[in-house]
Amino acid sequence: MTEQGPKDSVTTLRDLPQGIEPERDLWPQIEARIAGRGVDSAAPAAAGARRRGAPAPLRWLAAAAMVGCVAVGVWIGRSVLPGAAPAPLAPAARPVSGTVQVAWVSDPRYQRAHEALMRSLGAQLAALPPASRAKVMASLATIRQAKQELESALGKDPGNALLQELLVNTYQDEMRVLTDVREASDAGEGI
Amino acid sequence: MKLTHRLLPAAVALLTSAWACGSDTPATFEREVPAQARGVVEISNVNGTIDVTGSDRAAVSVNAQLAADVDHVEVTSSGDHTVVRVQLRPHSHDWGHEETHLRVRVPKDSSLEVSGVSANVTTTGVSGAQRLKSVSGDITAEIGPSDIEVKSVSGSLRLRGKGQPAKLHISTVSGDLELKHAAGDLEATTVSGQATVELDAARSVRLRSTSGDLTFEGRLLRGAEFDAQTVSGDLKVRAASEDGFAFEAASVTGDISDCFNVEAQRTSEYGPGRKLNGSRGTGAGHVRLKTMSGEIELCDRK
Repeated sequence: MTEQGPKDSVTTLRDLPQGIEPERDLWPQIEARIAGRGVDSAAPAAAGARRRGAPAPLRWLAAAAMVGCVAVGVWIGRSVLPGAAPAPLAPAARPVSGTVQVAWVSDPRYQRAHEALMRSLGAQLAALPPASRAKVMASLATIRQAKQELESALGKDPGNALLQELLVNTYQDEMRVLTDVREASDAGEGI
Repeated sequence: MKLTHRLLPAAVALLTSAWACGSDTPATFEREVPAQARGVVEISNVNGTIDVTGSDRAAVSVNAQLAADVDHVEVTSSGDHTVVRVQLRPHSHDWGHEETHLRVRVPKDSSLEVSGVSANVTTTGVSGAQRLKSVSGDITAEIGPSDIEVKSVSGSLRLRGKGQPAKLHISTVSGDLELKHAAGDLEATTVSGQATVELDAARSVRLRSTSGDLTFEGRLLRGAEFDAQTVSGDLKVRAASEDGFAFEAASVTGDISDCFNVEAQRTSEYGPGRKLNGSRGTGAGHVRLKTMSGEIELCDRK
């Protein structure tokens, strides 16, 4: 199975050997131990309990990792978002549900900026031409729906990197639209 | 009788001026100021049109048909900065009917900053940098060899280049984008607008949409980077490249197809998701396409 030994200098993964046989076959011993435990009536119950208990912490770890990734991604996106001026302090964040939403609540700077933009959105929309106002509201509804669909999909597949990336970018897009609307509402001053 | 004769011309003049004021004929405005050949020209108008044309003269000339709610037109030139601004009377933002049509000729190498609210913006023959913004007005622009930034909320964008490389930054919320014969580096973002992009020679392309479809057709330069992403919009990419490109396409629930007979693979045995990875030619460039539920079509031919 092993075709070649490691080269003197490894620069890429391809330089590593394609397969290495274990020094000894461990499976017979493992099989014997499993068979031995099958006789003990208490052992399977304990093992079952361990099996049932094990995924929960793993799930939490996965969720925490995902939350971290989303928060970091959003933080990066927010910090480079053009025109996203710092917003005034907002009251305490409203409670939201869902694992991904929690990530956003845990980022106070994003939350403050988002709250401030949402609070003034009504007045800003009122300052837009009616046709434009309707289109902006439809676009914001589109973004909200996209967020819900992405969060729902992430709920089923928390480790999906593509969904995480799309969700982060959708949050960025929402901030961009809110910022554009705020600037556009200053009629005559441009966007 | 003599008195009648004396008063008659005055009465006619009074009636004539009253008729003129009451008619719908807009007032006109004309002004020309000297301007530097490579200066900055800033133009704004709330409602109506803004037509800007580049010329060989070192002057900014303004011709306008003014709506009734216009207070005045500000035309100033100081150093390398010229301002043309239509000022409305206070509290006169009635978004319907009052339209001011502004025609401005600027030195062709000027840097242009145009801002409209409901005004449609058109630029022609300007080779300096352009920053064009509108809320609900459409923007039509000729792209020169300099950078261009175009931003709209709900207006449509129609941009046409001449194959000269430039940096293009384009964003809309719901407006559609049509970009043709451009080249260089493009970054375009929309939420629900449809984007149709044709680039003659692209060095880097970054397209993003939430629900709008993205369509790209063009030629990628050697080592070009191409990224396109949607949530639910479709992605259609026909990118020719002499040196080829490595490609990665990924979708959660949408289909992925290509014109070179490579089958998309499932990303996992049990969950949803498909991906298409591979390389064409020497793989010098990179093409990355991502979507949640949109469909992806990739082809390496225009």
